[in-house]
Amino acid sequence: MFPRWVGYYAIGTALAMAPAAGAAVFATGPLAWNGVVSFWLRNGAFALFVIVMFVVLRNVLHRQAVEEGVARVSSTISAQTSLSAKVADNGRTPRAGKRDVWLVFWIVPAFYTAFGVIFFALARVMPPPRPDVTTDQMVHFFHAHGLTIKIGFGVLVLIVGGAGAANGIVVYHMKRMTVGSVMAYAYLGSMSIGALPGCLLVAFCFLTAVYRPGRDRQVLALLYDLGLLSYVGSLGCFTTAYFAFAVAILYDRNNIFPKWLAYVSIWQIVTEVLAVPVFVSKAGPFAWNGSIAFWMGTVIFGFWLSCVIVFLMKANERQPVDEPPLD
Amino acid sequence: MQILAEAEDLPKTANIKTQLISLWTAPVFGVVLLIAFLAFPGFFPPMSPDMTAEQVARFYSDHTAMIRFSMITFNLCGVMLLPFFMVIVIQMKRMATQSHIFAYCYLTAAVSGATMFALADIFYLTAAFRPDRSPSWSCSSTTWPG
Repeated sequence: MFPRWVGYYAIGTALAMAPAAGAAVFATGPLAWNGVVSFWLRNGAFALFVIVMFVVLRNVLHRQAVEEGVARVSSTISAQTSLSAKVADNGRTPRAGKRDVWLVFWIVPAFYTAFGVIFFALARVMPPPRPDVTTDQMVHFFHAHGLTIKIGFGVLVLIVGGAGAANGIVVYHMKRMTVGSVMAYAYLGSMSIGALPGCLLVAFCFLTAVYRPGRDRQVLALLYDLGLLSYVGSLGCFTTAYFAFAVAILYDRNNIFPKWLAYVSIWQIVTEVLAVPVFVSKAGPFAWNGSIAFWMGTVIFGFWLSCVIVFLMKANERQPVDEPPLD
Repeated sequence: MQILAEAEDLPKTANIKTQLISLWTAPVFGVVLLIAFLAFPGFFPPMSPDMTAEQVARFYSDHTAMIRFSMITFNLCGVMLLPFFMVIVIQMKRMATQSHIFAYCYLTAAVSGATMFALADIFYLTAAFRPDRSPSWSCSSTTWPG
């Protein structure tokens, strides 16, 4: 697939980047985080890797297109009949689908219901407490809600695997599309990234804040800011996920999800961009509790999530029980 | 269900098209990220670990706007490099190996790396959020080298 030198180049890049771990140990010299090795060599090697692999992958994709072009001339008939068999019984069969996929499906609404209870009622993160408060008020917030934060976020760190299951079943149905798996993996990867700064960081910041009663006020203020900025301000990961989802739906010929869901996903991207000012505004519609940066984004996310759950159910029902396993 | 008459309309082509889209996100967003990298006031030269808390606090209050601009750009656009790495995963799955295990290891490794990136931006932005924060607490460590 790749010429041999690419393998050696990858090893070389890894060796160039590995010494940057020395930044954890050295405070001066080339291995410190601002040193020649840990900063310049490491970032330069990464950038060069992206450039070199871009060129390599362009050639590989060209070859794949040619190979599959040759293959598709001979397999045109069989491709068409298998495709039509997959899509033909649109809505005429009773509820089908595979039992293990149904099991995973029911985790999705269960998890998000629990998520709603935790974030709205227990942890008081939705709607978020205000950014334009004094340190005293931040400390008071943690004192007032300490118990429910502990219960809510304590349960969250236990059940957060449900988010993984939710992402997994979407990826499963994306792989049944005719667009190949790259967008499915991009969705999987970027949603996985989003779980840490976008969901768990606020849990751990708030749990730390309420853990010891006499904690320093400045630490509490920092944890308050860090938790809420990461929760509302984790933008890029979800932007990439919605982008991959939208592109895959628009190109898909199996119509696993309806085309208009792609446009809702693009709308989601817009709400992520509109949330950018949360890092600057401390009051008003663009603050982390603002009507545009928070509320509009939350409402549209709720709508998007409901649509996804409904269409996952429909995709499950339409899936033939004897469909061969995915690659 | 329509009959797919032209050879170009066959599903396999979409497989290449989506990979090409993912491939081209790398140079497009690479340029954007390069601009953000150059705009950040703390990379030329990179901030030293020897800086005192007061120096760090002064850095954040003197350059708040550029720090916010560059880190918000990294926050929004950094993860858009991930589809590029997913093309590598797809191509690894086409290799004649005994199994796809290395492709999946590559996938999770790419996700781990991008997570560190996403976290680092948020730490920088939190430090720049209240420039009047007491100096000892502005010393939030950068996870960038990680």
